[in-house]
Amino acid sequence: MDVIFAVKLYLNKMIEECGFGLKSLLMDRETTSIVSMVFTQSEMLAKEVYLFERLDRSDSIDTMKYLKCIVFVRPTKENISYLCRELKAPKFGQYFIYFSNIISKTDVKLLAECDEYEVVRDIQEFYCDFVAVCPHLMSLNILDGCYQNLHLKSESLERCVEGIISLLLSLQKYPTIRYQASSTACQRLAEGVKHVLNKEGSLFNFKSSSTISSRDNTTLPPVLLILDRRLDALTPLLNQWTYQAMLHELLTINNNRINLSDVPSVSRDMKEVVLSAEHDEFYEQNMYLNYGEIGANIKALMEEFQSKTKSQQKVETISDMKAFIEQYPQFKKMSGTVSKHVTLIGELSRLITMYNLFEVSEAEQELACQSNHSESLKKIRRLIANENVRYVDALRLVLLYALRYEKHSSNDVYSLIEALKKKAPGEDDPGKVSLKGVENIYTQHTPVIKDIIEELAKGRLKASHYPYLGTIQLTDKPSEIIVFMIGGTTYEESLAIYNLNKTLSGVKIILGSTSVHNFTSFLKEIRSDVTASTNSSSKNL
Amino acid sequence: MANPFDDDLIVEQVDKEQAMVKEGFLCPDCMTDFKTILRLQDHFAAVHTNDDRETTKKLSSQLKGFIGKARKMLNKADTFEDISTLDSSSALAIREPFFYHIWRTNQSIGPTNSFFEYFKQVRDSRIERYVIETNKLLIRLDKLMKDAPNDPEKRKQHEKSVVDWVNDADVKLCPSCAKSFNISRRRHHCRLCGGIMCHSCSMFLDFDYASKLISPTNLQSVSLLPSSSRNPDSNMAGLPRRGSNSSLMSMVNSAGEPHIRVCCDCKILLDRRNQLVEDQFAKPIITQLYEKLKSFIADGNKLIPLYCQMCSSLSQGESNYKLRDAQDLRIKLMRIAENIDVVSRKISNIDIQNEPPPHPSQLKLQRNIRLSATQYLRENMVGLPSLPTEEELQKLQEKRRQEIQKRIEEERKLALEEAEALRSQSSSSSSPSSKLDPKNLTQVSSASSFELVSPDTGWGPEFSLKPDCDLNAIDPMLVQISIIKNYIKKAREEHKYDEVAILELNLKELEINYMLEKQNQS
Repeated sequence: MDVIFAVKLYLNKMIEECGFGLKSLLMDRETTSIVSMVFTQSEMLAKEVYLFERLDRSDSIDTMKYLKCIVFVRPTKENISYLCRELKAPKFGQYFIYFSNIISKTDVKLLAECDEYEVVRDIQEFYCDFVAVCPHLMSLNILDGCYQNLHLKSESLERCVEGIISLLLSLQKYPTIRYQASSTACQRLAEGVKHVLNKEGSLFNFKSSSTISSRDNTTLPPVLLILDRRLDALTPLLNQWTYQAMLHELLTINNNRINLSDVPSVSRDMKEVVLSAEHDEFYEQNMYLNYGEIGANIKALMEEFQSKTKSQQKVETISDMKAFIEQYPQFKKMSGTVSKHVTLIGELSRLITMYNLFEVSEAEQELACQSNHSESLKKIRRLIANENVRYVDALRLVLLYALRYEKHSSNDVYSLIEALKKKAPGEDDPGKVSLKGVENIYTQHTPVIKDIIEELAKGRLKASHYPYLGTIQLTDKPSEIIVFMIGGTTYEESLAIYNLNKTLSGVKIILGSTSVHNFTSFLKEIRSDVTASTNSSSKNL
Repeated sequence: MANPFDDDLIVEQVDKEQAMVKEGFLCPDCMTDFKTILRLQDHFAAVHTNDDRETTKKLSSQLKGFIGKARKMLNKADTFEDISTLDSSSALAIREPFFYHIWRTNQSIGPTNSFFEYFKQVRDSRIERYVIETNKLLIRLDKLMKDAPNDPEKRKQHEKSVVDWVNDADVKLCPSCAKSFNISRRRHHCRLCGGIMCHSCSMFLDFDYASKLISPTNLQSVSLLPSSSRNPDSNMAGLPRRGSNSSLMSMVNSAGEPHIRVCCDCKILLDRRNQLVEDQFAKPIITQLYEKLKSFIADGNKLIPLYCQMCSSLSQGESNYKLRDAQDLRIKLMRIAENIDVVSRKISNIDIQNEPPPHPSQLKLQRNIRLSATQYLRENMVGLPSLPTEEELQKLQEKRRQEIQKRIEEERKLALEEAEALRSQSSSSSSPSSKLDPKNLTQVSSASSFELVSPDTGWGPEFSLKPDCDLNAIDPMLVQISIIKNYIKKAREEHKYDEVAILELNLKELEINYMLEKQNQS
C-alpha cells in the first residue's frame, strides 16, 4: 500500500512495454506532476526516455520518426482532441498510449479513426491519476479551490471521484465507504465513488483474490473514509515546526520543488531545489523532525562533509587523485545535498527571526490548546501592533481567536479585525474570510484526523457521525484505511498519519486529499469559496 | 587426480562432518582407518600418487562428467541472472523506513485495461479502404509503366486500357476548381483513375518517384544509382516528340522529364503510401549511432561486475584469476568507456553545424542522450577499482599463503586433539558406510575457488572437431586435452575467467597424467 511505489510500478511497465530504443514521453500538465514526483530525470534517461514533451504543446516538436512515443495523459476531452490531431500528422514513429484513468469507448473509437498512419501500437488504461507525495500521502493538486458555497464544485467532485477510483485500483482495494455525516460534500463524493465502483465492477475483479490472500490478517475490506477540511480548520492555521511542514509553510513546496528565486543572495543553481525523500537520504531522515533536531543534524552533515573535503583537498600524489576520482560521484552528490539543505535551513531561520515566528507560534499554541481568554487577547493585540509580524500571521491569530472564542462572552473579534485593517489597509477585508459552517470543536494542537483514525482503527468510530454508504456495517477493526479529505490536507496531518502507521501495528493508513495546504493556500481556498458563492448568489438574483 | 568438478561441495562437506563424528576416515584404496582428514590426506598423497593407471581411468570418466556439468551450468545461467537482479532491487529497498519497506514487499502492479483490440478493429475497418484503393492504383501504375508503347497514339490506347477514361462530355466543369472547360482550359485525364480535371489542377508523378512506388523493396539500391540508369529497359526514357502535343504532354513535363499525370486524390493516396514505406526503411544517423552506443554500454555492463570480482579477488591475494587477464579486461573496459564517450559526443553534435540549425527538440534529444551517457560513465566507469601491480600481487599472494598455512596448521592441531579426545572417549566401531572419496578430500581447499564461480550469462563453447577424424583412433586423453584447450580459448573470449582458471588447472593435471601414462607405456 505504497502510493509512490504503485505509480512507479505502472510507469516502469509503461516504459518496459514500449521496448528498447530511443523513446520520448508525451504528457499533459497533471501527468507531468505525477511522473516527476516519483522519477528523476536521470532515472528516466537511464530508461532510454530522452525527450519529455507536453501533448498540448506538441506543435513545437520536430518530426522524429525514429523515436518511439509514450503518451501518458489524463483522459480529458482536450487531451483526446490533441491526441487526434497528433495522430493525424504523427511526429513519431510509434505511439504507445496510456490513459491515467477510465476512458470511454467512444473516445477510443475517435482515436482509432484518426490513426490513418497506423502508428498506434498500444492503447491502455494505467490507473495512476494522482500525485504521490509520500508513500502514505497522495494529492490531486486542485489548487484553485474546490468548494463553492460549501459544496464541491462539479468539476472538483468529478476529479475527486476519478482520483479516488484510480487510487483504489492502483492499490487493488475494494473498500467499504464511510463519510462525514455533517458535510454534504462528503456524502456526494462518497456516492460518486460508490456509483463508479458499481459501474466498473469488472475492473475491481481483484476484490475476491485480495481478500483470500490477506486471509491470515483479516478478511475485512479496507475502509475509505471521506472527510471535510471544515472538520478541522485549525490545523492549517497553525505555524509548523517540522522540516517538511515548515518548508511548505514558509517557502511553499510545489511538486517536491521549492522556488528560491526570491531569496536574497542565493546562488544561481539554487533558484529551484528539488526535495524528494525517494532520492535524498538526508531529507528522508529529517523531513519529520522538528526545527531544533534538524539544526543539529545539518551541523553534523556539514562537519562530515568538511572533513571529507579536507581529505579530498590534499590531492598530491597519483593515488590521492585516484581515490578522489573513485569517490567523486558520491562526493558530488553529497556536496549537492549539503548545500541545498544549508541554504534551505538558513532561509528558514532568517524568516523565523524576521517575522518573530517563535512568538507568533507560541501565541497560536496557547490559543489552540489553552483557554486563557484575556491573556491571549492581550498577546494578540501586542503581536498585531508589532511591525515585524507579518499580516498573514496576524490574520492567522485573529482567525484562530475567532474560531476558538466564537461563543465566549467577552469575545472581541471586531476590535481585532479593526486592528488588522489598520495594519494593512491595502489587503482584503478580513471580514470577508468567513469560516461559517466550520464545526467549532475543541482542538488540541494534534490534528483532529489523528483521533478519528485512532477511533476508526479501534472500530469505535460512531456510525451516526460517520455513516456507512450502503447496507454493510462493520463493527470490526479495519486493517487498511484510506482517508480522503476534501478541501486539502496539511503536512502536519501527513506526519500524524506517518506516526500512526508507525505506532498502530498491523494497520496501514493512506491519506489522500485535493491538495496539500499551507496557510496561504488555505486562505486562498476559503476566499475562492466565498467569492465563488457570492458570484453564484448574485447570478441567482 | 584432483578434480573439483566431481561432486557437490555441500554433500562433500556434510560427509566430512559425519565422518568426523564416526571417525570413518578410510582410505578407499587400502581401507586403512585414519584419525583425521589431514592424516588421510597425507597418507593418500604419500602412498597412492603413483597409482597412475587407476587415476587416469577415473580422470577420463570424471572429465566426461565435467562436460555434462558445464552444459548444465550454461542452461542454468539464465535463471541465475534473474535471481541476481531480484537481489539488487531488494537491496535498494532496505534503505526505506520500516513500514514503507513492508508495504512494498508484496505490492504488485495494479490492474490495467487494454483497448488495443477494439482500437485495431476500428482502425482496420477504416484503413482497409485506403489500402484497397492504394493497391488498385499501384497495380495500374505498374501496368502503365511496364509495357507502354513508344508511339503516342498507341500509348494513349494503352493508357485507356489500364483504366476506363471518363467520357469528356460527362464532365462540364473541372471537379476541383469548378471552372468550365474551353479551348484554353482543356480536359485532362488522370492516368490512374480516369477522372477528368483541368491542367492547373493536375498533379504529376515524377518517373523516378513512380518506379520507386511500385518497387519499394529496391528503395535503397534505386537511390544509389545515378538517375539515368535507373530504368534502362524502359521505353519512357527517350520519348520521341511528335504527333499530338496533348498526349505527349501527358508523359513529358516542360523540362523534358518523363512523368505521369494524376489527379490530386490519387496523388494523396500514393504519397501516404510512400511516406509509410519510407518511415519503415529510414534509419537516420542518430539511430545508427545510438545502437552503437547501446551495444558498447551492454558490453560494459557485462564486463564491469566481472572486472570488480577479479579485482577484489586479486587484491585479496587469491590466485583464481591471472593478473594479465584482469589487465586485459581493464584495457578493454577503458576502450569501451572511450567509445561510449566518442559516440555520445558524436550524437550530441549531429547536424549542429548545419544551416539552419536542427530543431530545438532534436537538440534536446541529442543533449539528453549525451547526458545519460556521461552519467553512465561517471557512475560505472570512473570509479573502477585499480589493479595491484605484479610485485604487489606477489606480496599479497605471499601474505595469503602464509595466512592459509597458519590456518591449516591450526586446524590440523585442533583436529588431531579432537580426534584423540574422541578416540580415548569411546572405541566405537568405524563406519565404513560413509562414502568417502579421497580425491574430494584432497580437493577441499582448492575447491573453495569453486564457490566463487559466478553463474553469468551462458556461453556456448562451439568447438569444432573435424567430423571426419575418428575419435576412437586417437587417445581419449588427447581428445580431452584438445577439448579443454578449446574451452579455455572460448572462455577467454567470453571473459569467463573463473572457468579459465578452473580449466587451466584441469588441463595441467591432464597433461601431467598423459605424460605419465606415455612413460608407463614405453
